[in-house]
Amino acid sequence: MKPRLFRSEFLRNLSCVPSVLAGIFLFGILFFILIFTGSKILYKTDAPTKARVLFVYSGENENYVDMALTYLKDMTSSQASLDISNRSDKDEALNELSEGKADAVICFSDDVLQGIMQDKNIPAEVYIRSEDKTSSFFFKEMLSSGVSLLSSAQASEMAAAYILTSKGKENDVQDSLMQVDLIDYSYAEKRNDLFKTSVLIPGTETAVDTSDAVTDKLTFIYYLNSGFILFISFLSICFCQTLRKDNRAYMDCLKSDGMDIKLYCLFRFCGGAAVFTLITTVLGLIFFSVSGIGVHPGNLASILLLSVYSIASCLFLTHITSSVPAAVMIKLFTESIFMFVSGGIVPLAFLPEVIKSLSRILPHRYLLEGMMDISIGLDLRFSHLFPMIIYTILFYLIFTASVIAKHEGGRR
Amino acid sequence: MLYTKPSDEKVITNNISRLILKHLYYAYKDKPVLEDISFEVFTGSLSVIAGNNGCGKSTLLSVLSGAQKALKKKDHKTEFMICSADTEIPDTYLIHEKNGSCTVAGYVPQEDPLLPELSVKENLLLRFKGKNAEFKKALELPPVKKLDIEELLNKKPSVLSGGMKKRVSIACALINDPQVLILDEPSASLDLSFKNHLRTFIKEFTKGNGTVIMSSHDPDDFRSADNLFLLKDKMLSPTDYDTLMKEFSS
Repeated sequence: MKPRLFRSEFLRNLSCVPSVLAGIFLFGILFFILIFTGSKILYKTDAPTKARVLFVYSGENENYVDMALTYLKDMTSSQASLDISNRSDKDEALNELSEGKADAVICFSDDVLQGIMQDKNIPAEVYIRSEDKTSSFFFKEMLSSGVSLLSSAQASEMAAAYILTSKGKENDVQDSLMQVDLIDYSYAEKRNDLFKTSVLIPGTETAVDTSDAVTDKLTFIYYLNSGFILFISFLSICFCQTLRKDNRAYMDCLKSDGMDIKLYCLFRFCGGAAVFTLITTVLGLIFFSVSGIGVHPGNLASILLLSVYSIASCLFLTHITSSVPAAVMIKLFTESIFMFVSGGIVPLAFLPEVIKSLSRILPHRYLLEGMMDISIGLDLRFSHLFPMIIYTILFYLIFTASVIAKHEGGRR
Repeated sequence: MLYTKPSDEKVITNNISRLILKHLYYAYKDKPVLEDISFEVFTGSLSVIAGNNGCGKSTLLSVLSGAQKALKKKDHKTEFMICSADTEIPDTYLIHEKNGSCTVAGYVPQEDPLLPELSVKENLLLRFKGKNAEFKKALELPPVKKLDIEELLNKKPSVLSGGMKKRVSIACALINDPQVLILDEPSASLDLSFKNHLRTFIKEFTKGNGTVIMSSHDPDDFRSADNLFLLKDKMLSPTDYDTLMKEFSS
């Protein structure tokens, strides 16, 4: 009876195919539009591609500031081609900003380099002319993050090496670099976060070719991955729609025939997961091949896990809600919120700290990071998948417990 | 007939003569629903349980079928015995004990137990405990054959009428060739011709040495019953047609 139960669960879940196909069609169009317009409009068309940036610095270590600004310029090379010029007076620079002659002003503290060398971060102040546009907001975020990067270990190393070399002390470079290595790595984590985000700001890695084709690809990676996760999550809503609540009479018959409820729950979960993962794997193979990201075992593992998680959450919701439409509505709502908080709609770097903190408890954030890592050639780590495995197990266990409570708890 | 114990030890009960239930107790959320239920029915008989709505008929049948567990209570030692001509088999597992898959009883709940996504054949296969190759043979069993479901095998339950669904539900319960059929208000909300068809079917099933235990509100069912029980105030007591009709009219 057990293999037949699995077979019947598999077969009954096949009834989801028409609605999932309709979902693929509808959500496919929706996400295609979102991915392409999102990346083109938000970060290309409206972005300040020729930003005039004034920097104010009256300290002695101009070499460092030059280096830092070059670094900033490289980092943002294709997102915002920075036209950087120097001003000696802060008020003069701010006046130019208010008159519209400049897009941003960066004021460096006089002792910025000393701060770095003494393991202190003395942040530069960033002023933006207008903050009423989304692009301005992003531009300020980008500059602020870029400037905070200047005090990172890498920038310090570069600056120290440059200064020592320019003073004819090449022999001391290696020693000083080793010294600098010990200075301050507290920003390394922040830098990593920024790099994650800056994948959508092409040109972060100055060593890579920043030709249009490559930068376009990099810009899309974030949208493709987050879009695909969102797509699968929404597709599971179509699947959820075809799940019926357990038929009491059917369950009574199964129990009368000697079937264990826990086993029934397992087969119900496995049957649904088998059907849905089959569909999503095929979609994933097509998507990763066509998008240019490439088919990678890590990508497929992520999609499989996301599908299994979706089924567990669908079963859980279908069982605890009063009706299937209610489950569908809750699933739609929660998935949208989860994806937003996890940085799947707007990158986390642009979201408030509260949301960033909240995202740490959601599995989508780690899965998205994992898929991004795979896309830029890194390996998928278990830590990327672990939170989603935990959530899946949790949903499955609650579903099983509620079925047992309902059907073994008794009859009125 | 085979009755399989949890240990997979097969006990041949070819000649079941009686079913004896003693001191069954059942409670829902600590509130007793059934108290000290006892009865004895003979093979080849039709036993009808009558009672008002909500008195616990469905609960009793679901406990008998194994869908619900009977509860243990102090001073109540539930016993269920399947007795053959020469031996008594105390069924300490009841029919419904965990893992105690058995083919003694087939259960037909009041509501439709069929999965709407599957065809009638797949629904039957799901309940069938034999090998796939033996399924065709099972469809040829006289009680199943009499239900006349061959034409419905490839149809989905959603396109079937209420009477057809009930026939398929009964076929599902009989597909493992049980000797006892437990029916929970089988003719409720069905038309007169189906009720007559069902009555004839039950008569033939009992003639073939099958035992039927069912709940009903239908006076015609009371009339045709070999044993009539009234479930009232959580207790089950034997009664007769006239007393029962007086009880209901009062």
